[in-house]
Amino acid sequence: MAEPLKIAGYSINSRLFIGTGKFASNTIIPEVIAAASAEVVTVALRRMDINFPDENIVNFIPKGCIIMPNTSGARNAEEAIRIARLAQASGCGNWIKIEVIADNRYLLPDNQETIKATEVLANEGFVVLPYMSPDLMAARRLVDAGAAAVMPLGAPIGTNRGLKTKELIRILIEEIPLPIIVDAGIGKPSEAAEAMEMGAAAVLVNTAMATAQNPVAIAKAFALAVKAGRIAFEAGPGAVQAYANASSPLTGFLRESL
Amino acid sequence: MQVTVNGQLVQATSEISLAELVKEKGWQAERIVVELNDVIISRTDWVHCIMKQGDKLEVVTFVGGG
Repeated sequence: MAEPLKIAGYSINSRLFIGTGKFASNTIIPEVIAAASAEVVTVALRRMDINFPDENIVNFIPKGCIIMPNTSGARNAEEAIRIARLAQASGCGNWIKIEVIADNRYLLPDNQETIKATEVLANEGFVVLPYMSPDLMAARRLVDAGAAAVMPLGAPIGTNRGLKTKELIRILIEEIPLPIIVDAGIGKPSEAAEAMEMGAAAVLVNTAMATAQNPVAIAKAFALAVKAGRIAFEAGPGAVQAYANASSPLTGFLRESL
Repeated sequence: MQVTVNGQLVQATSEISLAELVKEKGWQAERIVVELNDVIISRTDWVHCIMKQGDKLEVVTFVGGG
């Protein structure tokens, strides 16, 4: 069976991380987490609505899950660092997904600011998982900055477009000595399986579940796909050939050979 | 006395501690983080923190996100 994923001394059995945004209702989230068998769950930090002070997503996340707050809303390293420190003060642990975005149309991350924030927060003892545009040099700098994993995007956030950056992610998997977690863009279980077969350490899925007609059922499908993809990767798929290579013996036919 | 909470003016009892303010307003103490004048105040320090007229509070909490 698939090996557990090791991040910063934690051993994680489920390689399907999930986000909690955009679900029609928070009450479905515990069912989605259960169907996905997810152990790492992302949340966002926002101003409390002083008219509705009781709303809090953490109330819907089962105990035992690792909560990974993101720094969404941060437009530069400084803002990401502030959000990370606030998140830590909540007492929900020290995992942080760095997300620094200054582009409103494609929501593409700012790798340079992400590297800066990673360095500061890793030095403060955070387990830092930076969301990034898949670029080898930026990923190497994230390794040097103390990231615990690297999370390249498959396609822009919320697009459900799949692994548009596949070749660049493949290079990161080959060259970067940290877990590579495909975050953003994955829209279907087959795409999650594809990332896992390629050697991604995990995938992070949110919109694909939140916008499905049946989020709980698709969460289950994603869990199966991620597991299948991981087992396939560990099994070592056979080589791709240009020409046909018969699967049945080429001798003993029921005719005389010429 | 008035303090600013998340950009809105809020009425509060004079000389109230942050812990008392949180209780008075019915905020979920175990689920929020508070910055007072840009400094994070840890939950254990709320009782010692006496609010002053014009103080600026940011009260944050977790919401769904990816």
